[in-house]
Amino acid sequence: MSRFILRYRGRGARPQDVVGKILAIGGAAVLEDSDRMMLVDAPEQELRKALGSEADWIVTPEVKYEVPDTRKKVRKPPSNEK
Amino acid sequence: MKTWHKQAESSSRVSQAVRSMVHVADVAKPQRVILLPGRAMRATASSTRSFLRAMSVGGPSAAVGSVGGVPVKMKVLDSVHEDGAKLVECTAEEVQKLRAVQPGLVIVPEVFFQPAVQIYQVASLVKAAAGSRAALKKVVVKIVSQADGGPVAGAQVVAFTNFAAREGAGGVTSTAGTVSLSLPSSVKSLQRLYVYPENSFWGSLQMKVALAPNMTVKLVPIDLRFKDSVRFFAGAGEMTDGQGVKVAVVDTGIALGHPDLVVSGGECTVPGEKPADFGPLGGDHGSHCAGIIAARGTPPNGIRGIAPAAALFSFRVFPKPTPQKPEPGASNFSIAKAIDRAVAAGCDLLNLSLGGGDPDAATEAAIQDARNAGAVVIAAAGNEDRSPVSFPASFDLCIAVSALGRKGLFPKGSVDEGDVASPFGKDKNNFIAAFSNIGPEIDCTGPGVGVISTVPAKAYAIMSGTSMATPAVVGLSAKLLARDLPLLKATRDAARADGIAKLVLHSAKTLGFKAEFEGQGLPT
Repeated sequence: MSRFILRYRGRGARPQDVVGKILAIGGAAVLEDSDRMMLVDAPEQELRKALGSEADWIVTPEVKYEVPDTRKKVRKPPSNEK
Repeated sequence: MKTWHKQAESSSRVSQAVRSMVHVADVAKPQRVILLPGRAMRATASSTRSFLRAMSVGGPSAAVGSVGGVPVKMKVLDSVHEDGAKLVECTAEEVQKLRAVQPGLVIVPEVFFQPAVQIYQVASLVKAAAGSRAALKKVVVKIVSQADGGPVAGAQVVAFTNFAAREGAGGVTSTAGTVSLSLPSSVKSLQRLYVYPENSFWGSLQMKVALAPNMTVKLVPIDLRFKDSVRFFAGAGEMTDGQGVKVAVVDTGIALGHPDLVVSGGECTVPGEKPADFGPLGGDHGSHCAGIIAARGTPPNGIRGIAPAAALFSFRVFPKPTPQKPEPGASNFSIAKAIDRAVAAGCDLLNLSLGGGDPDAATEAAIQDARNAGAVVIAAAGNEDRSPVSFPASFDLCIAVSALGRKGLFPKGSVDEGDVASPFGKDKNNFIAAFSNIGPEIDCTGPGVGVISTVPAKAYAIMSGTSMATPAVVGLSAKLLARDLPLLKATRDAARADGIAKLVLHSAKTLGFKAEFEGQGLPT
């Protein structure tokens, strides 16, 4: 199972039947829901298959961004060669 | 606001990547590639549009054309729009054929965000070094205020024995202002010693430091009257600057109780956290950005941002750290949702001082929807030392910002001296920071080296980064937009957003750098 974002790109209100299609996938869960998007936990292949005919939905994996930082960081312990 | 020239270069690069992929990959193994309709996410050329419309998502692999009577087959997995980008699965051989069938398409391999590269953290480093205790010696570093000699607690000390290899040790000072470093007995000196205080002081950088069992570093306290790079290049705002403009800071949350900050609204969009928690639970970063845009204080007791009258909205996308996840990342879901919410709240300008990794469709779609609703996203180019512009700043519909600095606008011996690098501008004191990412996607530059701004606990801190340059440009943009009432009051649509982007970029003046460093220059 992986987390995916579903974003509706069609016109008007988003179709309501998509949630049912997702929940019909074994073990799948809708974690968050907003006007145009859902965050779902589901196996990718089954999810894409379930949404196969839903052309107005983007499916993209959830990814994470770090807080940008310009501080210098140590990557290795000091060597003994000095 | 990327030009076609820039996109053509980019397209050339990605096409080259696909060509390489075709040569090295197993030509019979199915792989996933994205078909882009050239200049935009949706096709403009009729032949490309017809081709993409004929490709339906789902179903088995099917013919999409033919070369010399041989069909080109692929399976369509996903689509941005019926005449937009498609995610397809096919063999490398089919990709080669497709290039002949539709030479106008840009074909790029599908890529995924990877977890951040694992690097040694300071704490684990000391622990690791302690394994060979016999060869180690302890060095105690004490950090004190230059003003009164008092201890500075919570300062991060980073000691490099080999800076190029990033070898060294580090730690955080105790309430007594001290930290104990474990270093090999053979090490006689440090190449560089960085000290990053939490707040209230400038950071310190010392080069070629002779080691002693006990060392002391004095930090310069922040004087809020000091003219830093933001105040030099953008000027402190008049209290009416930015009036009527709504600005969203999509970040770690803004300090709600800071005397210099007024937060008009916002939301936390982190899954599982309370929407009303849009304060600084994700860290100091968002408060610092907010202060650059619209702090309302007056030195010497406070700090003044560029557009103090702009209405600040806090959209927290970085989760609250936990012992298990001390540095949790912001998900693209949180960011896309925050962009939606900011637009719904009527924000005109969205500050995204974040980024990294490869483009993702959800964030791009949210930015595109924001543009269609009349709002403009301004994003940080990234701090990876002259690397290519990171996403989402690299996205065509964002204004991408590099970081500008100027010699003499930070104390001697501060960490900011390490950010000075060529090329220098027409005025030889000006430079694009060593950490700043650059590239053809850069739209403009903003002051981002040694910036004084607000942080939680009613404090002030110095930060550097394209993260700081971005709110400086947002502040300047708010100032400009507030003065253009017809545009400010215009119907919220794509034309309005284009108008705002043009207003900002047409105001920019070159500082004498190449376009890949400064874009159009500094908005004024």
